[in-house]
Amino acid sequence: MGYDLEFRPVLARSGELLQALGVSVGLTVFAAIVGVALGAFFAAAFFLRIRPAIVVLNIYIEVMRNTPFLVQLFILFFGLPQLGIHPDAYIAALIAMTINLAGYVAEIMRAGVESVPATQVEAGQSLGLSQMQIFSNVILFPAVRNTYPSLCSQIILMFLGSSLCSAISTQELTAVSAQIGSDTFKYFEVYIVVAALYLVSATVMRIVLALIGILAFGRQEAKAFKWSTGLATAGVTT
Amino acid sequence: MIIHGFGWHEFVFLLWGIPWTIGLTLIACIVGGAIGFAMAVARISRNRVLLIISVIYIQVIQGTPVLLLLFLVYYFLALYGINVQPLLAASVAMSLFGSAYFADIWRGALQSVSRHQWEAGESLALPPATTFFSIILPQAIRIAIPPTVGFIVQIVKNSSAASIIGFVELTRAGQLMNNLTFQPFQVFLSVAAIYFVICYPISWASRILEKRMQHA
Amino acid sequence: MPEVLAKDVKKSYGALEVLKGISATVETGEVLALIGRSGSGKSTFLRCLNGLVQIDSGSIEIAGHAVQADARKLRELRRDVGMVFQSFNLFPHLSAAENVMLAPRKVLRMSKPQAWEVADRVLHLVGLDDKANAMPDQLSGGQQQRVAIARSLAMSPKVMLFDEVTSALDPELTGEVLAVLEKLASEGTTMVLVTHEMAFARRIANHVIFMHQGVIREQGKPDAVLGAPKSPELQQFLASALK
Repeated sequence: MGYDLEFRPVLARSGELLQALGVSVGLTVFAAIVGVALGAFFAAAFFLRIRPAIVVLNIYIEVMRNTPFLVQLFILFFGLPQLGIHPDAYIAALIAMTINLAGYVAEIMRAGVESVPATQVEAGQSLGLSQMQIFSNVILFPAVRNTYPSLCSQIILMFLGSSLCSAISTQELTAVSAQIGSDTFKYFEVYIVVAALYLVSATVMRIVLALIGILAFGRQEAKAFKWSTGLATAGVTT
Repeated sequence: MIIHGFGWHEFVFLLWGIPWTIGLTLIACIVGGAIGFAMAVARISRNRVLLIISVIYIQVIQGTPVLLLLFLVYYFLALYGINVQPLLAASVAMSLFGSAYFADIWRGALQSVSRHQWEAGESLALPPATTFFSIILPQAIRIAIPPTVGFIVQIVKNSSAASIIGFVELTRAGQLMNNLTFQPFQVFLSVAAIYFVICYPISWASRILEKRMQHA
Repeated sequence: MPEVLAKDVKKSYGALEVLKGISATVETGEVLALIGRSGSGKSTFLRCLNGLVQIDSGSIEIAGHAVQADARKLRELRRDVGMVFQSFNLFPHLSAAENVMLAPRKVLRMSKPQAWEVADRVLHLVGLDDKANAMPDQLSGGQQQRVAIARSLAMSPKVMLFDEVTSALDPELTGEVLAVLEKLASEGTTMVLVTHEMAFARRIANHVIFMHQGVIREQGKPDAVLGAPKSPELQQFLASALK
């Protein structure tokens, strides 16, 4: 084998790789949409101070943040059949990613709700708005706008974390690359190519999310867009 | 085929994975920390070359899934050696992983020490190295502690990926136990619980440290 | 029947008694000015009038509502009582017109065209017709405050409360806001203002109350209170205020 790297056998199967990349992206997009949608409900629970919901959310957040995503996948894919539910690899990955991401979204939304100054709430109250009306019209949009960079970071992290779904045989990018590796024995080459694919895709995703941010929130978001990920403080991986 | 139930003995088997998880975490922190520190300094230096190298290093590693890092290190080493020990591959990979994020966190801490501090050092005619070590660094360390402690939790969690290249840490112990008992629900729930017990105190400490920082 | 009737209002924060029994009356169409040092309790008292601060004892009736701790009753009260804040508190993600139309549409259930008419009217009143579609960050402080006033006026309240509405503005911008206040007063709006603008208070107020450490130290007609202060605290206060 030696030092001669041969990429051709890998690149010959780039069609499969790109298709698998599509699976990874698809999983991420689904988790992102559902996760962020759930986030609005979490934010409402925090703002309206719905006690029982907040207790449950706090437990949920801590569990997601302090257990590995891989183990969460195993519990869902291997554990559920023991209880009679047999999800397929794709569904299990989807659910695990969504639940995991939503946990981080909940924490981010709590910070988002707190980031709206109390004076805004007072202004709403002085106009005779109900708490629910204040939430929908005064809190929600600014809360999401203020935490948008964190949300984007978390989505990208989830995309990278999707590679772990290969461990439960979901046919996403990492799984397919492992198969190509075992077929061609060019393991190192295939993983280099795939790492590059993840890198490029993550960058493209970040740009797309930034553009969505500009569309939704206006020019200020353009200034907030940073090339450095700053992921470490956002709560890193899975 | 002998199928055990999942009882106390089986649970204790899982506990044997803990020292390996913690050991891997420590290696990643120490080795990754050293590299990360160097990269953080490079990242804020005025030397164009160092800056670009560190930016590329940090961005590339942060943009690569941990599992892929593990595979790449494993197969890279395999190109040279014959039998790669999972511990070695996992240590190298997790160290690289940690180094990139430490670099980013510490770069942020160094940059948040106000410019005025640098100017104060210059006006006292201190050489840049002295200014850095005596004035900037001590302040940066204080700022860096909460996110660094918080990130250690991430290393512990991501170490679970090492199970996939065969390193026997907590998650792998769980897989082995699952193959023995065929009770994945109990096994992996226990594994999750053990991770929680390890990680939660660290997360909690990070939060307390962060609050203390804000009152300082 | 006075529009505002406060009887012996008391409020403490822990061990600190901020309001030690404040009583005040404001007849319909009158303007009451509250003056005093920071910490005298004047802003706290104002916020008790629309229920943003819960009183410990005493009673307040305003615009025909009794101030009670019930959320639904407070919402009804706040339809008839408008409040403008020192820091404007415009909703940053909504345009000026959207800020103004929000409450009429959500609370009064007006349709969009109806609300737009109201917005048109009140923005014209404060002199900002051409800024209807501007976002708050595109407006100067004085303009933002005028939009905030318009936002409260859109609900057609019976009483307007103003909490140091010019204190956060650069001096050259206070004039435009005070002009709006003067206009409202001349049209017979019942107003309670907490203010540091002594000359302005003297011009438009019917009654002035000087508060000091949670009690009313002096009150009366503006010329009497501001022109010929009797108590040493008020004399000291006016001396430092006029510097």
